[in-house]
Amino acid sequence: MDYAADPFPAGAPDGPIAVVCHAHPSVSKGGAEIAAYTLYEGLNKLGYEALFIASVPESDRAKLALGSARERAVFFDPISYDHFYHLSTPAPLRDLRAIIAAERPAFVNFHHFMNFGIGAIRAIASDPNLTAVVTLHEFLAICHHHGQMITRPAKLLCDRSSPSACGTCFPEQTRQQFALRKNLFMDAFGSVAGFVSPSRFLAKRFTDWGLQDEAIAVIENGLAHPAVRTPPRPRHDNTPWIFGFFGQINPFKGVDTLLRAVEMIGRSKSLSRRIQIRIHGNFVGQGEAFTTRFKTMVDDYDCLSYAGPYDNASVGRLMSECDYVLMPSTWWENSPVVIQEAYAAGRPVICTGIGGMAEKIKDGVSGLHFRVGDIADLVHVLDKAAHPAMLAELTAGIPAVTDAEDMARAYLAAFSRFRAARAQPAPEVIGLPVEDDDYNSAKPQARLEA
Amino acid sequence: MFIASQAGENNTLLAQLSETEITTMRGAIEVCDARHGISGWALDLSDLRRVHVIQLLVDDTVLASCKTHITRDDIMEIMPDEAPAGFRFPAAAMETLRRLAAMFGEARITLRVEGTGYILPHGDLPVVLGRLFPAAPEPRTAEPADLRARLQEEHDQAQLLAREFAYVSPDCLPGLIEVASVDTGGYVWVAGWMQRQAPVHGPAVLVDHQRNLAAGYAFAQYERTDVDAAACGFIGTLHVNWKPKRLSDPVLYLGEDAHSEIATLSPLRVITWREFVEFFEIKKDECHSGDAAGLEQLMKRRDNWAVNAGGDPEASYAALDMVLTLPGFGCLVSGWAISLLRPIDGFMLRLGTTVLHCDRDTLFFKPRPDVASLLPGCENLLARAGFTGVFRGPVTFDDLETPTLKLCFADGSSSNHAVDVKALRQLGRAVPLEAALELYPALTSEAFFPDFAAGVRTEIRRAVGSCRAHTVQAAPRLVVMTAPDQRSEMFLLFEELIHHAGKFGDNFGFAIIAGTGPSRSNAVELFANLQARTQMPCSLFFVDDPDYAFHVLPDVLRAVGARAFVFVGPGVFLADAGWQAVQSHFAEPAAHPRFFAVVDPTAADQDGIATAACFAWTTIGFAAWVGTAPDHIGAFSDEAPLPRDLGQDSVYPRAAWFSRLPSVTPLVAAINQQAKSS
Repeated sequence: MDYAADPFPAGAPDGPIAVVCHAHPSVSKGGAEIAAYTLYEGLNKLGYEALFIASVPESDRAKLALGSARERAVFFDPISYDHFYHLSTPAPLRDLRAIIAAERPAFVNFHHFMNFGIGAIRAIASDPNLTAVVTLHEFLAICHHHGQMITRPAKLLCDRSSPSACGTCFPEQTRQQFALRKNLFMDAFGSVAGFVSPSRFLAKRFTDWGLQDEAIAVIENGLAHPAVRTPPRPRHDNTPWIFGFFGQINPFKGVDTLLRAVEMIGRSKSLSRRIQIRIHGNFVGQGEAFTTRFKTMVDDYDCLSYAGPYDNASVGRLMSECDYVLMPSTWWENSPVVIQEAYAAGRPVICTGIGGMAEKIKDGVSGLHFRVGDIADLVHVLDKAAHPAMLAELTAGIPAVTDAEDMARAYLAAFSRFRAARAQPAPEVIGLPVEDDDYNSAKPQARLEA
Repeated sequence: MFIASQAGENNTLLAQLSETEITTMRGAIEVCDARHGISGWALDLSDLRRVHVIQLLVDDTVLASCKTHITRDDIMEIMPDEAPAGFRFPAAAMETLRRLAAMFGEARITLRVEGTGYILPHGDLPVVLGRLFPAAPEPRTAEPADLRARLQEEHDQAQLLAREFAYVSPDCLPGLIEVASVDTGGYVWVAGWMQRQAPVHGPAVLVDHQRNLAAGYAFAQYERTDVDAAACGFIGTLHVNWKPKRLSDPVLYLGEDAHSEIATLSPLRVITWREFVEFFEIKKDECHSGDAAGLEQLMKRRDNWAVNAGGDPEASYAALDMVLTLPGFGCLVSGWAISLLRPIDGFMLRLGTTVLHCDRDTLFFKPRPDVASLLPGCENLLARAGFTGVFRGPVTFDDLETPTLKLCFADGSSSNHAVDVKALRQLGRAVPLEAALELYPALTSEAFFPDFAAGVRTEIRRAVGSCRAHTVQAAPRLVVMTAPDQRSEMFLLFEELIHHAGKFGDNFGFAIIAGTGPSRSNAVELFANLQARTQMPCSLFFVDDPDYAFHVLPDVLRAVGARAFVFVGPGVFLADAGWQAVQSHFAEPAAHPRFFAVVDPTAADQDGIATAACFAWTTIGFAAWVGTAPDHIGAFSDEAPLPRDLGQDSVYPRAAWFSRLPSVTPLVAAINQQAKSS
């Protein structure tokens, strides 16, 4: 993607660009809302008229801090949302429609369908006066298990969805309901002009699922405030190598993998002298057993330390105090912002060699991979990384990061392409014989696939 | 020395002192007959306060005894400080004599003061058993019928009496009815006090608020210390076309001359039948006059449902474990019953006011070792103590109180046993229909299955009832959708309705049938949004179980005024082809039903099945058919019960999807199949 080129060859968009997100970053710090807000800031910096619309739970009104005059909040009651078909009650769509009617955006970029509901995307995208684009941040449209494509309850990696496979993970739903769920999403996405994915891995999963490959643009999430790249930490002979974990401390992020690796490291005096694992983050929604085990291990193992929660403003500094950044996630990941932040800080990343992580971190180039769930392999990789030559080689391979403006330019180019390529939907023909398949084939993106 | 006694029965004697013995004892037998029993007086002149035990001997064998516990006014006038000198043998003693009279007609009766050797003089009274009971002893089992027949006869006699009755002052102080009750067979039972010499049975006139009513009555008398000596307590029954109420104020005129009067305590204390039976149980052994035994047998008769009123409660035991009720059919019952003394001939069950008889052809037995602790050593009885049977009768869902099981014995008697109300389960409401299979695993092959199936269909139809309209807007062409109870499904339904509503022109409307489950409030909110988002007439109805939306479809169509409709049942969603088919159907409604073939969305290569869960018709065609169609229960797995025309345009392929595949249990399938074949 040539970010320097004019994103709108045909001229400026004929209306604001609305970035619609399921959350506001002042209320929650998830990757999707941070990426959406970064895009909004990038559009503003480029001089485009942008609008940021976020859904906010009624109970979080007090937390909301709108950062600019062009930000809007749509308040909703989380209880009034269906998390299976992802449909909402009337109020959020009604309020969103009102804002769109007032602002008349040329483009509406949804950074999630949650809280507004997939029906809102279908309704808004059907408006012929605007172009709707959906950014995919995880697999929630494909996978009902938190959008992670991890089986339930075994938490194994899942490669492909199907009604029977999904029905096995969720026996409380029928296979037929999963088929209807997919049909609903496909029908709603059929109204959308195009999609953006932060990784090729995620884009491929959605094309395998049924979206058209040409309808998806791969655009990396930018960093709103990239850290200043710092040189590697000064070292002496006995300086331990510090591997830093950054993120929510939960089993999906692989913290349990790290704890087991610490146990293995602790059994080797030489390793435990050389390797330090430092964990940054907070415990959100973790059971007491996990938290207790974590704290006990911090007390028992010198090679493990807990640095507490952190905020995004200090992540660059914290990462610069490490030699490597660890990303031991046990699920696919899409494009974790931690990777970009590590690159911005000039730190290579050691990660599980799957999914979006494996795409963003080139093994042996900008970081190292280990096999998912393989503790011995992780320890081996840590041992391998704990050498100045390896660090130097990997540091040299760290790519440049995308900032907000780069991200916005890429999005604008995609918007323009999508609008140009969007075929007008075929008019509804009343009275067709029901045996005629031409009706169904007119909307290939919405075809139900078993 | 003579001691006068009150005038009365002819058999009353004047007491005479014996001058042949040197004894301070004095006494006499005053009454000795089958009807009034044996009574008299005895005292010791040297110890007037002493209470004596009077022994009844038959040929020197003591059969019974009683104490001198009755105050005698005539004696007290002379000796005010004395203890009660009167005595009266209870009715049970007469019963014993009656039984012996058949075998020992020549035996003699004597009364002796215990410990003294003093024999009470009897005067002219018959003291030979054969003379005391001149008629042949009546068979015990015939007694209830005899007393009833007698009461009926006396009631009939009283008809003329009642017509010609004119009040006359009573010869003596009236008595008082103090409590009253009514048994389950319609007999009125009363208790109170009356004049001792008044007849204890016969015709009577009951005057209540200037109405003269013919009555037959039968009383038994017992002593009461709270009334004067000329009076005594009574308990008995009236055969009369009258029911006591608290504010009743009847006066009963006894006898053929209607001279003996018994008034009524005001307000009248009307007690339950069970309370009256308990009172009788206490008093029956004290009865010395009248037909206490006959009254007891009347209480035990088979149309009497008082618990423990019949038979010896210590000799029979029973309990019910499960009573599966099906209104309109009866009950499937399992329990156990043991009778030590009498073979059980059959069972009856009363629920509320309905009496059910056990169908013998459905009875089967099994061992019940779990009740062995009640009757150790009765293995033979325990081997068949458990029973299962079908009790047929017109049970209604709102009349199931005081369940009572009646064991009917081979000798015509019976015993009643209270049933724990927790054993009652209404099929289809409290427990699933399949609970019937626990009692009858081969239910569908049983001879009673057709009636059972009909009862199930009728009861489910009744239970479904009608729907309640929340919002009604007229629409000649109507799409009727069933809102699922599952919240997610409901959201999807309304989302699809809003999405497709824009394709319809004028005169189309939506009607939603939703359930009254946890998602009701979602239905109301989403319906309001549907109204706001579309310009189409929208109606909302509620039904307790949306799985039976088909049954209330006629009500919906009538309320909305639809002339043609498409019905989409629970668990079904229209596909794009289906929405198109809706347009096609309304463009030219057919006289026969058109089916929207429903597909399993996970099986892509099917055309779907034609099912009554998704079809279209005209309202007239549907209404003409539904009145004669058997009620279908459960999910629709095929086109039944709708008539199917295999014409070219009768099925729209792949027009709808199942969100859950319909499934019916084998029992439900058999019930529906039975309807088809009947």
